[in-house]
Amino acid sequence: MSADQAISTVELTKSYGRSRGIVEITMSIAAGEVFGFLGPNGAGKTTTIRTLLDFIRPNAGHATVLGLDPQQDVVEIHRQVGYLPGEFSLYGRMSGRDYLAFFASLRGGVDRRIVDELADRLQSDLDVKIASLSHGNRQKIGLIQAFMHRPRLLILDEPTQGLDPIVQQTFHELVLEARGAGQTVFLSSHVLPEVERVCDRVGIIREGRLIAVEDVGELKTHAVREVELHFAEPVPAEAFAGLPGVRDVEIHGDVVRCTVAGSMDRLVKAAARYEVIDVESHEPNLEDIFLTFYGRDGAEPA
Amino acid sequence: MIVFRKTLGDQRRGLIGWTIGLVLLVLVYMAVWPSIRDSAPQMDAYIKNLPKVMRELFIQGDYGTPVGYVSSEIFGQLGLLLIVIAGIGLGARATAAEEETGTLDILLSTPVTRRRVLLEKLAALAVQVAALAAILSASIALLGPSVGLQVALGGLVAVTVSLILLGLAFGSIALLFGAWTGRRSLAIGLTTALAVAGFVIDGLSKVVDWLEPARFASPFYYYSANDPLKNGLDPWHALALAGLAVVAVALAAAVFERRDLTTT
Repeated sequence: MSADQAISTVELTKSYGRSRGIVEITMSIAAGEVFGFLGPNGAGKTTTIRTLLDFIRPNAGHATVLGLDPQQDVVEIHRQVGYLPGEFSLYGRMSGRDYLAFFASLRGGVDRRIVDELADRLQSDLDVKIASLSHGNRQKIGLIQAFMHRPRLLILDEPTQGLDPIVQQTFHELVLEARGAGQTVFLSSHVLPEVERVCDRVGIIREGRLIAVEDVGELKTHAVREVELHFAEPVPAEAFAGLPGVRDVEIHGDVVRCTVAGSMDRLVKAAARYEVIDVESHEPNLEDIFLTFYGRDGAEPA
Repeated sequence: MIVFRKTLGDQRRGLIGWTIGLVLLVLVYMAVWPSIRDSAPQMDAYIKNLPKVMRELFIQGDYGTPVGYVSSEIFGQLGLLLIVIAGIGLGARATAAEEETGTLDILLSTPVTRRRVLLEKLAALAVQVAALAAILSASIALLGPSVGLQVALGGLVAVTVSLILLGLAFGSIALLFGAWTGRRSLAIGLTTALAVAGFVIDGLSKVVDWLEPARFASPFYYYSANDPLKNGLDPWHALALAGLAVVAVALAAAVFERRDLTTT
């Protein structure tokens, strides 16, 4: 396995009982990449991640993390990885500061300035007992815990859960800075916009199977949005007929609703001829992407 | 020893509670000692009339003497029970509580092995069981003389060591079940069932002939058969209890290292 691969899996399979689990996941994440692992809840994201960190063992296939085998060299992997679980609890009786100091000592010491800077940027109050913190504020401490030792690889399971939008923005900056510093980031999410914003590539997982790996740029050109335009006065139907990539056009007086695949350019230029009061664009949900981009059964697009 | 120190720190409130409980227990036993001693002849007559099963299960030794009283009432009943319960509770909590509450994933994502976490939790258990048994015995040694109850220090040390080993053995079994199932209540339930069975077998085997060979299967036999308060520690019995703990811990480490850990 080449050393410039941060993570690689070959037909990684883990089954529990009948439904949950992952099936033959094969993927490769390059060092320095930000990779989004996208899929609905229960698709197998957490199972894959926990296999990479040797919390659970695969039934078949194998994984390599930073060139090491999780079942052989778990301590070395853990030393170089920062991990945020999807579901976790912190030690409620500790303050954030004590909690982070405990984990810093388990990692052989961490520069306190890094902890303070992360806490400051994420607006995390480290002097409060964790038990009295909201879900979002606990998530911040989990994030600091994952970032504070500047790991070569960050594995983050649904990192923005419960974070308010401003803090999500800060998190996205942290991810991009990590990439700038040569760190690799593997993050899972069930929301597309987040993945689009920070990731270089995205793997889409559904029902335990990796159904596609795409460049985010590619995904954006295929992405389908629902757009609603409000005009100052009624507009003629012809103005929006036959625009490439624009479908399902409905015109009700001064309101135009349509679906746009890929670039918004044509639609915006067509609309610009009239007085536009408001534009609403809805990001598609994952299910829509699967249905439109990958076809009803999850097959590749035609 | 970072996990060890944190575990002790987390459990210090519990330890303080147990300490208060044990000292109060000894206080009560010491307070009633003078009246027990004075009514020893009537007690003996009463005990003689009890069915043999009752006598063997609940009354060991000679009530009217300090050694008999302390040995049967404290080290044979409530004091024994409390130390075993403390050991089971701490053992069941060791890894299973973190697994159940969902703190274990982050803990194990650091460069500490599963085995190391388990062993440091065990060390915290051992220190606490030893401290509690020592507190129990120290209370007897310190409070006894004020009511004229004196037991030889050597015997007290012997029974304390024996009690620590018994608490460690049950604590290790609970730790094994907790490491195996990831569920604290299951670990407590299974270990308590084993302890009750062991206690009953140890008592009944003295009166029920066909149960007699089974008494070697009960940890309580190795704890009390030699009556350490009176006769000192039997090294083979001590070794049997220590061996039981070692086997349980080795199994726990093996199971815990190989298992799929659960999430909340």
